[in-house]
Amino acid sequence: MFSIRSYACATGAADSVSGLWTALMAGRDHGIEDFLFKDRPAGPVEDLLVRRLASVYAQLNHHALPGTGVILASTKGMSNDFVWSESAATAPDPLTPLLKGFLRQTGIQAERSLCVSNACSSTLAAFALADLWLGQGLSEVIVLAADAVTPFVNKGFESLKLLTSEGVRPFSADRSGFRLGDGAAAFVLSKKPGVANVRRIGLDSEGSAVTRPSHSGESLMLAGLRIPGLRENPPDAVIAHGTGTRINDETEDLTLAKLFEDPKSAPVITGTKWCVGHTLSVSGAIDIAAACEALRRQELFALATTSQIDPSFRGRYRTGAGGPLSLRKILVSSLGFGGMHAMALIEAPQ
Amino acid sequence: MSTVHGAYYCSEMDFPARIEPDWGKFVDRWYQLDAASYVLTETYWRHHAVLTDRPGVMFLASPGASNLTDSQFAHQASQTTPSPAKFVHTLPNVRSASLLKVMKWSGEVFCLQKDPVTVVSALSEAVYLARPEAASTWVVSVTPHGARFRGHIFVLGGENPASTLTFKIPAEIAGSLTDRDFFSWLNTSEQTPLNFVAEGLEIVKSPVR
Repeated sequence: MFSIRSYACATGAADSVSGLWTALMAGRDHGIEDFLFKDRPAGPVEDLLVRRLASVYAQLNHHALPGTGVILASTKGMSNDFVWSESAATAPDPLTPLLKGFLRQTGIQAERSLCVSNACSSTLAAFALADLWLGQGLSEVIVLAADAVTPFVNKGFESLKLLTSEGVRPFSADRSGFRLGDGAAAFVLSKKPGVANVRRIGLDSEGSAVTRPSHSGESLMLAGLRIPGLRENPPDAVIAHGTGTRINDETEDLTLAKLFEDPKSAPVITGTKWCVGHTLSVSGAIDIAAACEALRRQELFALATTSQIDPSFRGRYRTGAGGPLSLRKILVSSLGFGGMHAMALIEAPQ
Repeated sequence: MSTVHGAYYCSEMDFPARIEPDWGKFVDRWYQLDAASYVLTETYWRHHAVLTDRPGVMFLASPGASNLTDSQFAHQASQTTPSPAKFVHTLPNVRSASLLKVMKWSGEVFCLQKDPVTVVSALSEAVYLARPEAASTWVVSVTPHGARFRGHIFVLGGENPASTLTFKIPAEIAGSLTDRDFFSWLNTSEQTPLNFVAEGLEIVKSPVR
């Protein structure tokens, strides 16, 4: 077990966690609006991401201790609109320069630093790696997450036909995909008491298919079962990956129904992508930050753009204001391309 | 100090393949794999008779991330309709999917990058984690080698009678060598120098038995 000492994030919808919370609770339907940072330059995005990471980290008012580790979670890092050239194919990875840029800008002397690129479950994988580092004696670990929507990424998802031209409506019968969003986040993790606890991160990677989880949800289920006691003591709520694609939502519903079979204790399910878009590697970070806020405020946002849940689904989805909740534990799930799945149980401090 | 023994398996090959690989029947549309996915899976297959134990954790070291496939996708997209099959491989973690399918294994996989020391850093992580009494920790990677490719599989800890390398962390002396230096050292048949140091990790070739 480790704690989240502090957290901050920025998305196209908001520049801070409190702004994110306001947007989630306001429940405004963004339609097909772009979920991009409002200060995006016309040119390259790399400086934007270094600046964004430094600014979300600054929100933490944190002074890194000796023995600090730093992990960056990202899918494409400083990849810009990729232009073909002979040298491009042999260039260094695009994440390390972003991490180095952040360390240079903040002056942090990291004892260990590394980049994790587990697709859309990157943040949860970075948390799992941080858990290992804390167990190996590091005093604290800063986990960063950043991704920006470049024309390259946009073109790729268009080719996969996963982007909706309508609104984003996760878990609805007429769901038709997602919109991409920019995002950046920072967390300080430690073995000392914090604002929330993380019991364990459950990870599982499968080779079933590249762009979708196995239909049975077996691998996502295994990720959940790696969290001790998750089934026996279900969470109060789930912030699901909920992309709004046909297969992802179907598999997530099936898996959560299998994990939490007793309808009396089944958690209520919600999500954030209708509000901030799909921020790729950062999506898990946004969901963890939202879980921390929900635990602190004892309130939960809804899937505000989803009016009618897919009738074949079995979960308890929160689509309206709903009744009051007592929130002690919130499960966050992330599903990534390449079959990389993860779950994190976020708990209120004792 | 942690000391772990490990074995190293390497294969060099051309890409694209001219004929269907033996494992092709396990991977839907194997011919759409990018170089990294194909080479990683083929490397495992060439050694699968001895790689019978399954890892507790796998570190997928991705030097250069998916730059090669990214550039091919960008080139293709600028000339014609972009291929979704190509795009999915522009996420560097995706190369593990065909490997896991052929291994018939699922578990904890971390896709790591830290150029120019991505592979050495992944080995450091594995050394921290590996224990002789526990399941082994694998580090897998693909690197270009001229016009060809090399696949690498390191098996650390576990019951590993075929160990050819010894990993020690923290290293007693400082070193600032890179992945390129590491593979150059590793693939030379000479026994000297016996040790390689980088990223706080010391690696020693075991004497030939």
